[in-house]
Amino acid sequence: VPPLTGLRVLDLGRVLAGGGATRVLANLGAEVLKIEWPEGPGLDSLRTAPPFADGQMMGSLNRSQFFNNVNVDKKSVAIDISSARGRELVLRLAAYCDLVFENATAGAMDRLGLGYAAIAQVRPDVIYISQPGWGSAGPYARYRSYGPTAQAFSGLTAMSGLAGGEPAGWGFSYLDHMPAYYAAAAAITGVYHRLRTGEGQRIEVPQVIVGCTLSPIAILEAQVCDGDFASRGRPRGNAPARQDASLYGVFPCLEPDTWCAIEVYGQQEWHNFVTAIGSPAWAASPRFETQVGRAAEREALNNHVAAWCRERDAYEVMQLLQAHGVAAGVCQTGRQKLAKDPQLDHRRTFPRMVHPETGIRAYDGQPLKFSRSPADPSAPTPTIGQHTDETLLRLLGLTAEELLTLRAEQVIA
Amino acid sequence: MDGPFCGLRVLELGMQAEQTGKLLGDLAADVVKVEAPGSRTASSRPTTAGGRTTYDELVFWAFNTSKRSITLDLETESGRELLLGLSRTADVVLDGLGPGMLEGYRLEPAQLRSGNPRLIVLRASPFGQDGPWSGYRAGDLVSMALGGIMMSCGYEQQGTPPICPDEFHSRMVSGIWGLIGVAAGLVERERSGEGQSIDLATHDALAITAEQSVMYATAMDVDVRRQAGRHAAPDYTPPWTFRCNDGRFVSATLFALPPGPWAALVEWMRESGSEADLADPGYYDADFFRERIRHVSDVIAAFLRTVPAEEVFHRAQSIGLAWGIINTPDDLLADPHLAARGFFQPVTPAGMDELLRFPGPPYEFERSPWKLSCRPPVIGEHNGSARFI
Repeated sequence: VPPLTGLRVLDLGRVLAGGGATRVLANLGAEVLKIEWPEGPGLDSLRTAPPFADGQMMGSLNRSQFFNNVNVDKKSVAIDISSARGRELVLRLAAYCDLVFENATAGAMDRLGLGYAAIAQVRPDVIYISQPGWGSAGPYARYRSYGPTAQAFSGLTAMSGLAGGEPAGWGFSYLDHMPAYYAAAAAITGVYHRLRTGEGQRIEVPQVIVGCTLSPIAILEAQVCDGDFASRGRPRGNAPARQDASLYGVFPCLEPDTWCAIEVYGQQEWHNFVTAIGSPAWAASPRFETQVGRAAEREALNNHVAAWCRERDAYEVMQLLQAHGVAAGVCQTGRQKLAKDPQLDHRRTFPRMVHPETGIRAYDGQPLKFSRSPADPSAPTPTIGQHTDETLLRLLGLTAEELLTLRAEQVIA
Repeated sequence: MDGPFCGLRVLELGMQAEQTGKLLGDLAADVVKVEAPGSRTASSRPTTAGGRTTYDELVFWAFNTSKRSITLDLETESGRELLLGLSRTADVVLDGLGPGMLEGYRLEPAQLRSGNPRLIVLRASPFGQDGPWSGYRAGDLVSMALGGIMMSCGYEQQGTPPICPDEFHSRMVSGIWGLIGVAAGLVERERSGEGQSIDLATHDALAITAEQSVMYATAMDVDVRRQAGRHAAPDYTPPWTFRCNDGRFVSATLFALPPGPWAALVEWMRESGSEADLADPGYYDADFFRERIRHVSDVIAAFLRTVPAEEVFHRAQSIGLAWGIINTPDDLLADPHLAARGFFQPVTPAGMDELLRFPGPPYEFERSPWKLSCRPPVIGEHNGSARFI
């Protein structure tokens, strides 16, 4: 059985940074109860975020592939936490949960009466994971943050781009993914600590602060090197960080906007590369003979390699070079990852699942293959409120009549 | 208070799991890094202006705090036997040698676990232990290309390449997944009493860390297109990244603008007469706003060109806009929020005569704190003393 079987999680999180963390636990076998509401502040905005299946929202909260992908394997329990009775129900559920996750701005859950102190009253050994954007201490504690905000502040945006140009940054919210992973890792670590000591605790995983831990080399470099950011050759713009690279870069291939990345280090790999491309005359030129020469003539060398790649399909370039022991890889698109990558197929990295409103779609899997407790996403994303009755019956023992009343009074849906 | 992994014994082999080893070490595990004798020699290529250190050394320091180092030659019978002996009293082996390497040494997980069934072996490699590409080679650039990160990063101008962000993010992504795997394996072991082996592929970890690209592919059979400073999308969207009057940039996202912050933004622009027609109440209508988003972006761009970036950042945040200033690492070292939190950790690496500030904790455990327990080790520094107690 999956490694986290038997753990129950109360998920008050939203969007990718919050929902992504509990998704990891769900995929590894935990039962995750996602508390949400079809409108107002209780609505997870991903339910109305593109892309929608076939591009059509059709007035449904169940067709966003963004939401559906982030919430695979969870249970949806629709409770209105803007009402006092809704919050009371959530608190009663919390007593049956090992972990609680939230990613509201610092202090917001305390004001709702669903902070760590309140939950620990009903569940003393709870592991309570908060993901405030900036952390609850410090002058920016009340600031707001999305992935792009965190990427900008933490230096990641500036460290992506062509030297001298405007920042290219990250074309997606890397700092939603990573804080989600860090929060998941911290939560499971907290479970381990509790198994050994019996203690629960509050754990804080701030989005922006996670981002600030991801560039240790550049932060050290800024202290030991003279000059400013640009004069240190940042951002590198696909140029090698290490001076012993023989060939390093991203080269255009035959079809428009197709590219292959190539990395060659040292003399042996250089010879492998030259053999792989058929030992052309230019490669025998004395100026490319040594490491020092290749580094000095990097631009001329790159032009030769680009000319060779431009006549070939990107996958062909990769396969030919890899067959000669040279690190090469296509810059793959989303569609290519689903259709042209036999390794991802082999590892079932994007399992296909059936959803009642969107049909068969691909979902992110998880990259850990456990020998004794295999775990992969298996349950389709819940439609909103799909597990409300079942959960309240099973955990709180509410009667059918009580459920009817709560529904009529719009406390549950 | 002790960290959560206090007492946990970890052996780290090879490079692929270095970041996982650091994450475990900073949470109080006893991480022993096993290095080949002579594998880390003083480099003759100083990259720093004063020659104070080398690039290789910076990379090593970044990934190797809170560890001990011993040297063992796995090419020799006695080296392999010593490793087998150490693994008998270990909780975790981090195998970062590459696919099939342990098998070549006859130290495969079954062998390592034969005398220690509670042992957890994390095997981290570029593509996983098996499959058609498991023998492929990849450094950071190739991993970031194949994983689909790069096709979302770059510029919209034709002919410009996809961009690989600086700083070995392939190691960062695989590293945190390694911690997830080890922690989940330990939790499972508390229940079953048994360890297991866990196969982690960097390629998989990156492939699922690209937000909307696969979602668009499976929902609508389209690819997203890269564009500078904002999310890749099927169709080009107006910029979010704006240059301010001091030459610095801000990331000023124009999505999810609630009415309150929007009104405050227009008011702020009105102070300098820069609001153009944005005071039109029509903009409170979501469709009206969306239809004119390019115009809105242009007006805001012109306004921000007249204000310093720091002022944009703090004023925007004070009115509830989740805008960020685009910092460099140098800016982080001077930032008051990080300083007030005591984020940076003072460390004097071996061979340096100055304190350097290392990045601090990504998470705060109230009852089992994170801590940099020691500076990065000198190679073989703990030979003879690294027997687990």
